[in-house]
Amino acid sequence: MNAMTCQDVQEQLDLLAAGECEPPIRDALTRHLQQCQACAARYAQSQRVLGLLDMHFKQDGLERLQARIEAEAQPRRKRRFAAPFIGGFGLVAAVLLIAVGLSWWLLRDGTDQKGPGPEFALLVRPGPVKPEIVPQPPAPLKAKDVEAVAVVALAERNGDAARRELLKAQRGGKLPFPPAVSLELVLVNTGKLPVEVRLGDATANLALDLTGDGVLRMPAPDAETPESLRPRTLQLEPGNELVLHIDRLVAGSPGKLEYIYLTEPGELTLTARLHLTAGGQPVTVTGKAVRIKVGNQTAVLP
Amino acid sequence: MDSNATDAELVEQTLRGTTAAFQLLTARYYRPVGGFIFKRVGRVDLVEDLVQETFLEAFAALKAGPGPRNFSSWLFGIAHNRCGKWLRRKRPALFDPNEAPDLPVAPSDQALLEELEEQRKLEAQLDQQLQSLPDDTRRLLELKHRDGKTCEEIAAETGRPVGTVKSLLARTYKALRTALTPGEAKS
Repeated sequence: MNAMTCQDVQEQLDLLAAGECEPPIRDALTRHLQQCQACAARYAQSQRVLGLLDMHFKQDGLERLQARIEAEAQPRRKRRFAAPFIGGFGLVAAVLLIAVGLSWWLLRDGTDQKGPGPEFALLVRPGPVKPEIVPQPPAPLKAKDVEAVAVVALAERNGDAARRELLKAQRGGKLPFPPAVSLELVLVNTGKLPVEVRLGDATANLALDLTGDGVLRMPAPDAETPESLRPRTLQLEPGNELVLHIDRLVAGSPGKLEYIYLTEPGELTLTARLHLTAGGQPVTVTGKAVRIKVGNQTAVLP
Repeated sequence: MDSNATDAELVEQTLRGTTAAFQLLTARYYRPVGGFIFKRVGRVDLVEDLVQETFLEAFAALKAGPGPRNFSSWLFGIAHNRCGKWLRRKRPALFDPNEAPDLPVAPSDQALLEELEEQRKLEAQLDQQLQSLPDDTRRLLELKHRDGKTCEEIAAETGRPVGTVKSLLARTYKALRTALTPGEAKS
């Protein structure tokens, strides 16, 4: 391809910032930007405008933040959840393992105070380990003094490269599955009365908020609806649990799902939030944020 | 809760344990803080996480101690520190080892307030520009920026050729960039 002039480049800069240039043009533009400060400055302006547009249209971030603040504002319950830690607990790198020993509490929609009505606690605990996916004894991972430990296969590339690959895959309609995980969300009726719980209706939503580096979220509208969002109605007696298995990092609502990819080792914060209908009224149950560690290694928990 | 309350009044109520007051502050400052962070880290995918960390840190601080003298500059100071922390972690990838990053120097309260004002002005301009767009152009931007669709997906959904979608998108971006960037119209 012939060298591009500044005018050629500036015609394409906005589409480049939007990730909408074909690879040969993108490469030529990138080469030009590395050498031309004027065009690079204009490209930065374009990125800023597109960033403003993203923030303008993505209003659900504020809702997620406010839900987390509500959760932080709730008083801690003294009753603690004893996670069933088992010695010699191992997973292969492609499995996320979360072990928590934390208290969780109910968060009702739009209120500061708990009112009359159904009460739940939402717990996250390690899911069943499948021995057949453990090819060799796992290496030890120190887990003392941490609230949770996660082990997950990382993308081979770093965040930016992985994002580009995923965008390319998404354009081709071949978005890969997000990391396999072994998690259980446990919904406990902590009230004194039986409650009819309905999942998978029009307002159902599962949020897996992960705060930290290397979290990539990609819309996956054609993804299979996860178990936690499949339609079902059941009666939950006081003290009883509804266990929802999570085997992939898939969140959102039916028809508006997203895949969550992790690309960097380090520490993340996970907040699980489940929106369901209970006793005929919408309820959002939020767990306290838990710290998890992410690394591309196998693990043993104490 | 009075949405017209001043920042100081909302901080005072937050200190007394009224979470709803802090929620009003989050609604008031969510976008400005997002813009402030984006300007520093340059990656939209990081903004939400850093904004959340900023507000959660602010909330925890208000629960634990006395309120700040000026909430907005204090909040932006937290956001600035969060960005600095992230950039320092990324430093090897982002900076030449011989070139010190310029972020760790904390800006003054006055500079932060000026930046907040600039950010608010920019958002107001953007809102105004978006309102003046034809419905189908605005819909196009929603599909792209709210739903994260590609031009190919938008073309399939709207029944337009991909080239038409790209052209319209490019024209819209250029118009917005020109309107929102000082001096851009003259260049």
